[in-house]
Amino acid sequence: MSALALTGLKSQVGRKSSERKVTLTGVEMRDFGTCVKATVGATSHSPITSAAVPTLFTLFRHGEFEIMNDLGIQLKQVLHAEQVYENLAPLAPSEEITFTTRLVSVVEKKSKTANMAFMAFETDFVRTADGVTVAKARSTMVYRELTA
Amino acid sequence: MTEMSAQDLIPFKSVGVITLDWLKEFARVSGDYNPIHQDEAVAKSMGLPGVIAHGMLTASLLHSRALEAIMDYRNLRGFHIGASETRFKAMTFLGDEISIGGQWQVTGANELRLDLQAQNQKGETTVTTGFTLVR
Repeated sequence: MSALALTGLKSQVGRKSSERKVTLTGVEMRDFGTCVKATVGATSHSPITSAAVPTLFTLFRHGEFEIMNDLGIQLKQVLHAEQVYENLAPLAPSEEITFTTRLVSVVEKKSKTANMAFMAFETDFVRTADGVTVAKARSTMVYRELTA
Repeated sequence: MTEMSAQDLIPFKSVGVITLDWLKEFARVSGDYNPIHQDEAVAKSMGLPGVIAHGMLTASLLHSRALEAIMDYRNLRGFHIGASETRFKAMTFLGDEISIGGQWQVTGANELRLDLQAQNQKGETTVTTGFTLVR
C-alpha cells in the first residue's frame, strides 16, 4: 500500500475528515498540563483557557489521523515537521468544540534514504454553542517511504 | 517581578530527561500512539536509530516555558499567546536532556515576539517555536 499512497497523495488535496464534536474535561486538561510541565494555570483545578497551554489542541488530531488512515498511511511512516497555532478565543473545560480537518497541500521530496511527501493539514476549532472559532491549527507531516 | 525589555534573554534551563514512561504518558494524554515513540523495533524498522520523542511533547514544553516567561514580568500580565509557529529540526531520543531558552523582541506597541529553542545535552537545537504575544 505504501507505494500507492505516495503516488496518489497529490490528488487527495482538498480531502476532508468527518466532522468531530469533542468536549474536554478539566481533568483531561490538567493531565495534559501536568505532562508538559505547565506551571501556569493548567495544573490547577480552576478554569483553564486555551491560552494556558496552546498546544492543547494537539488532543484534537483525529481528523489528520483519519485522513492518513483512509489513504493507507500508517502512523509509523509519519514524522512531524511543523506546527502552527492561532489562538483566537479562550476555551474552558466542558465547552464542546466542532472541527473538521482538511488536507490542504502535498509537496513531494526525495532524500538518499526515502521518498517523502510533506502533507499540510488545516483545522478550525469552533465552539459549538456560539459558532466562535477559538483556534486554528496547521500541521505539516512528513510521510516517508524508505528506499534504502 | 521586573519589567521586560527587548534585550532580555530567557536563560536556558533543563526541563527534563526523556524517558519511556514520559512518552507513554504523553501518548495517553494526547492520544498520539504512533509506535515510533514507544517501540524500538518499530522505530528501527522505519530507519530511525531508536525511539524518538513526540515532537508535540517538546513543542508543548516550549509553550509551557513561554507561559512561565510571560508570568515572570509584571508588564506582560495582559498579554497572551496569539499564535505560535513550531519547527521540528532534529529528533529527540530516549535519555536526551531537554533545555529551553531564547529571547524577546518588541515588534509593536501591543505585540511582542518570543523565540524559544529546545536543545539537547550536546547543545544541538531540536525544536524552535516563535510566539506572537498580543493583548
